[in-house]
Amino acid sequence: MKTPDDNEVAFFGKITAAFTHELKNVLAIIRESSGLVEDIMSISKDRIKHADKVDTSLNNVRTQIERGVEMISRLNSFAHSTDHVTTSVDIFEITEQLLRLSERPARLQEVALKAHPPEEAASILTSPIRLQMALFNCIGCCLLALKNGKIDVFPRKRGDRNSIQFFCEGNLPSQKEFSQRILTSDKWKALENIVESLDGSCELDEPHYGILLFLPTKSI
Amino acid sequence: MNWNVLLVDDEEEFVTTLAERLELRGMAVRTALDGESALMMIDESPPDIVVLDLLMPGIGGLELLPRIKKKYPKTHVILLTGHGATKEGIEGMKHGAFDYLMKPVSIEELTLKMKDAMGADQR
Repeated sequence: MKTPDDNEVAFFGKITAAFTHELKNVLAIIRESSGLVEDIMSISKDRIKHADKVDTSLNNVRTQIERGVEMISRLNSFAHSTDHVTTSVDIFEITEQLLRLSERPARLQEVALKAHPPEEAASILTSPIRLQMALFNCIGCCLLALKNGKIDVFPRKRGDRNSIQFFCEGNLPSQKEFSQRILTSDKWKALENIVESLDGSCELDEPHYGILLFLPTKSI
Repeated sequence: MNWNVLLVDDEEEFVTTLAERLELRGMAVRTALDGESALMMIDESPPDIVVLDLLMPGIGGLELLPRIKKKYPKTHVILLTGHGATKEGIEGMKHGAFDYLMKPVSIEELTLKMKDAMGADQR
């Protein structure tokens, strides 16, 4: 497994964060420019030909700006997760963030991702980057066996440790095939290595088509 | 909404377009592309509201803010911050900013915040 050092990760995060700020400025300019056209349209509609088509295009621009802002904000948060090698993170917030970043590979297999908030907020002192790598690998492992369905994720605090449970539902092979595809994959091996480095463990929950991740409340 | 507004941001196209939109809503708007020019414009004629970007080359928003508030305490300052810069936004409020908004902000959100700020004077 490739193991970039902390400085390399921090460098990558810093550059990415800086560019997300610039991209936000680009989106802000597009938003204001299309907004100005909308303003002008609203005060002079009767004199503009094909006003309905212009309205439709402006609506599309607005929708895509909102989409872009959301994506850039997620990427920005992700980039900032390299700011500290070890820090306290809210286990639900980081799961939710990672799920949003994993939407594209999931969507390619027609799989929806949903994080369910715990009844009680739980935080963990850990490496945010390695934790997100572990979560990403869990999603990746599920996608080895699941198509056209959903993955429900439940971050929970259990005594002196945290658990994150992934449950697959949809077009799935037999339980035996589910286990075989995941346990023989490189993604599972990578997941085991990452989780071990966080002082945690991972298990396959074959009867429920799931993966269980266990982490201590403090994990370096 | 016939308020005097100063927009301070180093993104020229952003401030000029936003200024036009605010003018269409009845405001008198000036723009400054850096902290130094902003200070000169404020001294010439103190605005009702300053919309101030936090991240600018030269004098940044957090440095400019206390200077504005010290000299012109009645001028409301609304900060524009990047996503994830909540800490800086709160820091700004400690130094007298009326509030902070995340970039890119919608005009509806901005005008609402301006209305709140000007409304605070009436209360």
